[in-house]
Amino acid sequence: MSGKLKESVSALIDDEASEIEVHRLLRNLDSEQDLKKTFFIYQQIRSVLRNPSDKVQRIPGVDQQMKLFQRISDAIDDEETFTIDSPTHRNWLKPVAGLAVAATLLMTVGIVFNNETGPLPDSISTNTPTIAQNVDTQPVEPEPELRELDEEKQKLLREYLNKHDRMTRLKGNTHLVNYPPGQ
Amino acid sequence: MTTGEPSDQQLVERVKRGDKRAFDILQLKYQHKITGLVSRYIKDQDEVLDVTQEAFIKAYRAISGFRGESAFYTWLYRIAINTSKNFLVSKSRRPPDTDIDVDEGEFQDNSAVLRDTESPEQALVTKELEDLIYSAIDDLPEELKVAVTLREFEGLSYEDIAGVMECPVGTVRSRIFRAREAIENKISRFGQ
Repeated sequence: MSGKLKESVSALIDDEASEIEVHRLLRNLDSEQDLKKTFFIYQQIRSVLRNPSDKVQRIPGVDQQMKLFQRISDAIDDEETFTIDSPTHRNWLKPVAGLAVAATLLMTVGIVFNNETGPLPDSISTNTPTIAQNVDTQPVEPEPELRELDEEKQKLLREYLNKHDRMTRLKGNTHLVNYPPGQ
Repeated sequence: MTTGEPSDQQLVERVKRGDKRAFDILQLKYQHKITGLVSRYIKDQDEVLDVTQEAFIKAYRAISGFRGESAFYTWLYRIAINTSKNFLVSKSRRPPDTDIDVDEGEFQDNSAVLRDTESPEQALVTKELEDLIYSAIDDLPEELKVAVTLREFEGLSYEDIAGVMECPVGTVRSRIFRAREAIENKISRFGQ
């Protein structure tokens, strides 16, 4: 085992190891058998220097620590491996999913209102089943301009948003954006 | 250079991403300390090993909930204490009324905690090991002796030791390592 690795162990037990050293130790943990023993030897030295001898006697020695390490490591190997889908990782997905739902809802509402403001362009209204073909073959239509809605449509939009706001409050943990009423 | 907690936190994050070897490093770093802590609650050494194992497995299972609001060792220490107490209760033994402080887990004396009567053989072996280690320290070159003494007895950080010894932190790290290596060589013939 290289002196550099042992020096990293020495630094790690002192809480002074760098990120690179920790990575290096991780890479070599399985291939360098003496590496694990070094941890326990250095800690035994510390234990003897810092403890009254009656305490040291009760702490298992290096060989026992090595066996215990293997026992625990084997037991951990039998445990479930955490993955990106583990509950802890799913937590962050909730707000993201919530925002995605909110964005979809807003887009849908926007499209509905834009469509209600006038007849659909001929190319879409007459060729509804072939929208994908239109996208591929026809020149891109300019984006419909935002227009101020008349009072009735504004009222309808407010109702949609208020309903959305109520649903958001009911599902408080989804971290959706709360819309102030009346906007 | 980083301090321990960021590296512990990095290791925890790796475990959460499915890297079980990262948990091995955390275990190697703290197993000795945890067995020392557990051995202050429980007399029988086989039971100490079993309870330590249980504590680490509980820690692994719960690690996804560890948010890093406290130091990893503080969190692990709490698990180990609770596991020890539960073990004592399950064996109809009374756990101590007061907990061992997290900073003195392995070290210091604490009369409130259960004490052991050691066998004369155990005492002899420990005394022999202690003598070897102190003799190895005595034989060290002065700069290694000072560095390891400030670290192990005074608990100074590498940066503080560098200030005291008026040398770069890298030199301190190397001196402490060389001191430990020399001690290790001296005790290597000693039956572990």
